[in-house]
Amino acid sequence: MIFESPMLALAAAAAACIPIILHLFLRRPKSTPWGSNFLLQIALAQLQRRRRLDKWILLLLRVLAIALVGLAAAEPLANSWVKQEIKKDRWIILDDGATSAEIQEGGSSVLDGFKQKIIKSIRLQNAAERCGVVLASIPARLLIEPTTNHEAVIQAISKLTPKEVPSDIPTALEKAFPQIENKSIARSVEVWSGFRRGSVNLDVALANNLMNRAEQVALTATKPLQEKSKNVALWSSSSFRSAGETEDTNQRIFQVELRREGELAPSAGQVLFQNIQNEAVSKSDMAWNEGVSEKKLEVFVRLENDQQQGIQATIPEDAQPLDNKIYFSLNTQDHSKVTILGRKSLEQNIENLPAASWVLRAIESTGKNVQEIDAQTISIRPPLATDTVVLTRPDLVDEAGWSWLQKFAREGGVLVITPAAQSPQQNWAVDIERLLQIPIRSQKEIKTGEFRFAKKQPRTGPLALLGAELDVLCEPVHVYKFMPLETTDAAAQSGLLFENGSPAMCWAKPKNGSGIVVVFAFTPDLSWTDLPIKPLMVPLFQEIVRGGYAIASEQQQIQTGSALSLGSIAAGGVFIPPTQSGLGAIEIDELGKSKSLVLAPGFWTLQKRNAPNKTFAVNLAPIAASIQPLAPSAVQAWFSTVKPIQFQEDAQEISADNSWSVSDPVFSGTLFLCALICALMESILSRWGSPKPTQQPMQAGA
Amino acid sequence: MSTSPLRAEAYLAPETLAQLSSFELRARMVVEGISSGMHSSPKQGMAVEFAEHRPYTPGESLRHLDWKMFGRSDKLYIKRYQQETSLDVVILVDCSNSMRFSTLQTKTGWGGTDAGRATNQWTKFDCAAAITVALAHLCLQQRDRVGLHIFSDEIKSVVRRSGSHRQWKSMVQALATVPVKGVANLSRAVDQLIASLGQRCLIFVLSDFLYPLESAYDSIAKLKFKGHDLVLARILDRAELQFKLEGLRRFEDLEGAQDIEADADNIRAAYLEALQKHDNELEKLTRSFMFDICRIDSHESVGPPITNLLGQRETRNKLRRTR
Repeated sequence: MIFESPMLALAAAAAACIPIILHLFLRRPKSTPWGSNFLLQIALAQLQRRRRLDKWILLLLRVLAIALVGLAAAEPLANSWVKQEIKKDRWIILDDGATSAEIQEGGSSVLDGFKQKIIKSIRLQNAAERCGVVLASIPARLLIEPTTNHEAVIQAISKLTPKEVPSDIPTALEKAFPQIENKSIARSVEVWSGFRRGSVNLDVALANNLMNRAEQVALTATKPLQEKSKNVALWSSSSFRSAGETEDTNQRIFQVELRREGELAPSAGQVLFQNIQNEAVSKSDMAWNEGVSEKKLEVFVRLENDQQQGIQATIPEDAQPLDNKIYFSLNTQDHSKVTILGRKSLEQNIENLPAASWVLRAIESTGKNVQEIDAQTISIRPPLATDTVVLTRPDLVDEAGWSWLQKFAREGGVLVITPAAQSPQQNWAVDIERLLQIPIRSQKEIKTGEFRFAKKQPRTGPLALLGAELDVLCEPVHVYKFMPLETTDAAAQSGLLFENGSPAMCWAKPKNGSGIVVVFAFTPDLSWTDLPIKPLMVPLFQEIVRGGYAIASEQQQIQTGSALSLGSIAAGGVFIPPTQSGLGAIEIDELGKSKSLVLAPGFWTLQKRNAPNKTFAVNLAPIAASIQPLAPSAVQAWFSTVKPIQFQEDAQEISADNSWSVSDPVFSGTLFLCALICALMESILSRWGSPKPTQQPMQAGA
Repeated sequence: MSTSPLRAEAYLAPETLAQLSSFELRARMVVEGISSGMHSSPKQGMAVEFAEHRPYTPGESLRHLDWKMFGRSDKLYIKRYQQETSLDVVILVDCSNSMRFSTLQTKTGWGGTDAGRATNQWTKFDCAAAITVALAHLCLQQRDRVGLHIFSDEIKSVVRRSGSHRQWKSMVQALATVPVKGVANLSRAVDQLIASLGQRCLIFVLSDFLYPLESAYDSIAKLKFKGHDLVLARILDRAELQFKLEGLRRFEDLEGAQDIEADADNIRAAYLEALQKHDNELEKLTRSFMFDICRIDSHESVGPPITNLLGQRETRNKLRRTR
């Protein structure tokens, strides 16, 4: 118990000893000669038990009376006393993800503020109450098991710094909630987070099983921060060739997208571009007009042949320091493996060359490793260690073959499908949505006529790098036959468009997969199109293979908090972190994946035996650093599917209403009253406590 | 033992004497006296008290023939008379240590006993002595023989029964000088008494009876079996009767038992309850053998309780005779 006047409390304790001393040492019986103790012994035997009890009750009442008066004078802190009554495990979920780095007024981060408050609350906590900490940054993990060693908990919390990874509060809740077999054991779970937009994804509901485990959980959370901090974020980056620069394939435009949050007043700044050695490459002024929240800035970058180049953009420090830098790796070549599934032909006549041969020629010209396999054999002997499969004879693939292709695309492969030139009807196309789990479908009838590409092509997906160049390349191409494609979901996008707006090429990621499926409405066969003999042919397939692979492996967009999936190019290699990160290397398995997560942004290096080192840019997902405020009601609604949550400020107010405040005289008054009652009871018991005579004293006489 | 000459008058207060003068001490049962007196004897003979008629048997002496009856009824009847005799009274006085207890100053004019003189207190034994001399005086006035046995763990002093005028003085001498000490053993004392008695007696036992009643039961039963009459007089100090003590006390047992430390306020009710229970049991025991009992507060004058006892005995005797 904590006292306003500890010396008075000590004095009360000392005074409480006085009755004990008097009781034990200062009571001297009066000597009385008595005729015979015969009757007294009988009486004493009856009374002895009750006599002892009375004495002790009297002593207790005397001690209590004095002690209570002293305690009341010492003004105990009622709140700490009330808290001591709560005896359940306390689980603290601390969000140390990217949003916790937000700088608040006063210059300290959100995480520092939380740490101070948590440490203060632990110091006031009942010493017998166990306390544990779960960190919410990816990977959500137990920092310290619930323990009564509060000093250890405080030390562990003191060392925490904001991590440059997203937060994963749902997984942290999973770790803090009791297991289903222990769900009846009460515990309190506190979520300490700023609940910024980057802290939680309110669109993804919490797991249902948490609700079953939350029966005895008292769930509280910090109130979502509502300050609209002024912040500029480097949101995304990309690189592409500019129109008119097609002869020089190493000339690129590096583009960064900036977004700002909070106040949208006019402002200015500068973006610094640096290479991988931290040497300044370029600077660009960043001027914001009022109300503008998005901006794009471009700089020209020239790549050295056969050399990798990394570039990083940096903006001045602001409220969220973790989104002020973005990394990008520019690669001149990639070394992915391509397999073409067609049917080999000995045809030499150029006009009769099958689509597989045209594709083979187009991709081989870039120096890639390409193999050609008969499409019919895919279910018997699937290709090994391939990153991209180009299927030019889908009509030859059986059900098992389609299953393998679905698995391939789901696990991170790039699957390019063109119609079978030889078939008048594309029967396979009817089932493609089901077979490959993609939101793209087609009709089996082929449309014939003369079709041209749209003058302005989309600049997304695997062909994004071509940029404006794509429009120029598409212009001379004619298409005579095509298979109508249709997207059934926004997850599927058109990469090429016909003049009439129907898609000439669609791409999508398979459901729950990491790869990419590209479906062409036409096939590079001269009976379908003159594409094979136009300049678009080589860059089209080269970029589909490269860009598709980039999307599938997220080569250019590795984000912190995720595992690696780099395909064959990284199989068996080691992923080396930037020196300043202090992290260890990550091993990559034979499928190009890692078990460990990438936990720091920067330029990472892939080391592989018998292959040159390759640089990869790793960034913090921009959304994970967003410090836009969320509505408290929305956060409450998100938690309510598991357990109604109470924000800590409200909970403290309720607690203050229900208990005596530190300075509340009612508490001291109550102690005085108790002391008075004790004194009164002592008086009654000492005077009338002994058994009342049930009869008058004996009178002599016959 | 005191060396001062005894004045027997100092042991019998005039007011006590006056209170007892109107009472006769009658033995409830028929006693066998050796001299004629005011008590009926089982031996019928030449006394003045007519008992009954019985038919004359031929050859029998004509001395006791009722000639008037023969004249009225022409039948021969022999007259029978009840012989009146003197009463043997034995007073058994407890002189154990507990009888030394007192909370009253010695009464003025009282001749005193060694127990009282030592503390200048009117002890229970002083009270018992006063009662004894009063009873002895009454008996001697009726020409009954009276004897005294003083006991604690055994009979300590004996004044043999006698009807002589010096008997009373002998008894006073014995009471005044007997040492009051030891632990009471009524059973043993009664055994010794019975052994010394040849005929039926009226026995007074003067004691505080602050000991288990098992021994008292045996003693009373033996006396009943031997045909004696018995009167128990329970003498207690007023402090023992009322227990008006306060605060924490260490009760020091005069008979040498373990001291008891207790809060008098706390133990009062239980003590009085125990005393009441013990007293009730003693009375029930006595009455079950058709004997008498009385309680005497040592602070009070000895006359009223004795007269009260004698009055009750006389009333009961009359009732018995009318029945």
